[in-house]
Amino acid sequence: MGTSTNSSHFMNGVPELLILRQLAGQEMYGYQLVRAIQASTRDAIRLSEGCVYPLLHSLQRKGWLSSRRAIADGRPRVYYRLTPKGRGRLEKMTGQWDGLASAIRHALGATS
Amino acid sequence: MSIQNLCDRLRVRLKKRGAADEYVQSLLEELEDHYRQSIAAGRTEEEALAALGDEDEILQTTIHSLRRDSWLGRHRVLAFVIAPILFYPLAIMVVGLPIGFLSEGLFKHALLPRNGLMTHIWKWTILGVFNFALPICGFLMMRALCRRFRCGPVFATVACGLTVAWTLAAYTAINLPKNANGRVNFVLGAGVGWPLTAKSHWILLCFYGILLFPWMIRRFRFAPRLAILGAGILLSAITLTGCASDTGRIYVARGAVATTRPTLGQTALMIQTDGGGWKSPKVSQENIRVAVTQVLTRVSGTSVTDLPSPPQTSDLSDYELVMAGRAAHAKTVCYIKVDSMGSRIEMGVGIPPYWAGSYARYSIRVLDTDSGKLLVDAIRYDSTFHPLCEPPEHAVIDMQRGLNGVLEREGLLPTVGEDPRIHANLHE
Repeated sequence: MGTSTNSSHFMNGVPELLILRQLAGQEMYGYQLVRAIQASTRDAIRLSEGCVYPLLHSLQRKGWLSSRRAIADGRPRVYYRLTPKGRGRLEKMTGQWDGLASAIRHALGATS
Repeated sequence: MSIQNLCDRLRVRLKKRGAADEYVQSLLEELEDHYRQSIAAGRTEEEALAALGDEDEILQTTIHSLRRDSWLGRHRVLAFVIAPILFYPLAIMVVGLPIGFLSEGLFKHALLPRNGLMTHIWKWTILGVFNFALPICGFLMMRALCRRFRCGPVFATVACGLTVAWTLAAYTAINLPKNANGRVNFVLGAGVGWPLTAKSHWILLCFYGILLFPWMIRRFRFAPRLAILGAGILLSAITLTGCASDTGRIYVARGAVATTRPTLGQTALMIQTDGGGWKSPKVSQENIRVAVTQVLTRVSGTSVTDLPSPPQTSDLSDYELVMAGRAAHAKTVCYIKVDSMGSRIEMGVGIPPYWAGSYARYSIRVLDTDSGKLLVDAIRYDSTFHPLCEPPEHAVIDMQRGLNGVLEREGLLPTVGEDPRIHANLHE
C-alpha cells in the first residue's frame, strides 16, 4: 500500500530527500521524476503528483537544483538536475536519515 | 473538472495569494505537461487529474513552499506588522539623522540669518525630499515585499497601511503645527487636519486614496463595496481626528464691548533687522517698514513716524526707546526687532500645494512715551506653507498677520467675529 505525502507525519522532509536522490544520477523532468520515485520505492511512496512541482521550485530557489527548458513534442519542458550544493545537502540528509532510521530500528527492536 | 478548469482556477487563486504571474504560468505549464504525459501513458482523464492531486492541496503546497523559502515569509507578523511600525524611527536614524547632520555641517551658516536663503534652500531641500519620499517609499517597499514573499492580502493591507499611516502620524507628531490645540488629534489624524488650511489638506488624503485603494481592488480583487466602505471609514476617521482640530486661535471679542479703544496716536517706528534672507538689508528694512506701518495705521487714530534703525547691537532698553520717542515728539514708540526672516523649500508630507514655507521670527514692543508704560510686548514666530518656492517677501505677510494678531489681543484692533455694529460705533 502506498503512502501519500499528506497522510503521514513521518513524511516530513522525505519527498525532498527522494527528489534529491533521484536527481543525483541524471537530470529529469517532473513526470519522469514522479515515476522514478514510485519505481524506486516499489510504489510504497506515492507523491501527490501536482505537489511535486512546488517542491522542485522550492529546492531550485534554495540552490539545490538547477533547471533548463527544452522543447519536447512542440511544448516547453523543464528538466531539473542536482547542483553541487544540492549534492552536499543530499549527503547530509542521507546521513541524517540513516542515523534516524537506525536509531528507530534499534528502539523498535529493543522494545519488541 | 478538466485540466483547463483546474489550471484556470489555480491561476486565479495563486495570483490572488500574491504569486508572480510568470511563476504561475511556469507552474501551470508543467502541470499541463504532466497531465498530457499521464494520458499518453495510458491513464484516463479522470485518473490523470486525480493523480495530479486536489486543487486546494496544490495551492496550499505552492503557497506554503513560497513562504517557507524566505525569512520574511516565515515571520509574517514580525515582517509585516511590527516592522512597519519600526520603519519610520529606523529610517530617521539610518537616513534622516545623517542627512540632517551632514547638511548642518555642510551648510553651517544655515542658521545664520545673513546667509539664510540659499543655505536654507539646500538644507531643507535635502531634508524635505527625504520627508516627502519616506511615506511613499515605505508604501512601495512594503508593497514590493508583500508581493515578493506572497504574504497574502491581509498582511499586505496591514503592512502598507501601517507604514503610510505611522509615517504620516510620526511626521505630524514631530512637526506639530504651531498653534495646534490638539496634539492627540493630529497624531491620530495623520496630519490631514492641518489647522490653518484644513480643507486643502484633503489633497493629501486624496493622493494616498488614489494610490492605495485602486491598487487594493486590482491586486486583491476586493469587492467594490468593500473598497468604498474602507475609503469611507478612512475618510471618517481622518475627519473626526485631524480635521476636528481648529486653528488654536480662539477669536473672542475681547475689549470690543468697551466704548473706547486704546489708540497709539503719533507712533515713532523703529525697526532693527540684519536683512537675512534678502538681497540687501536696505530692501529688507523697507519692506518690513511698509508692512508694519500698514498694520499700525489700522489702529484707530494712529499715524506713524519713522525713526532711523539702530545699529546691530543688543535690544534697545525701554528707557532708550522712550527717549527716542520723546525726541521724535511721538505719543508712543514701536520697536520691532527681526531675528530671522525668509523662505525655504520644504517638501514635507504636505504634497503639493505645500512645497515651500516662509517664516518670520521677531519681537515687538510698544511703549507710551509719556508714562513709559509698556502697551504691547510680544515675541512671535509666524510661518506659512506655500504651493511653490516663495520669495522672502512673503515672510513679511506672515509678519503682518502675526502683528495683526498681537494688536487684536491687546485690544488695539477689532477681532474677527466681533459684532460689526460695535465695530462701527467704535470708529465713530
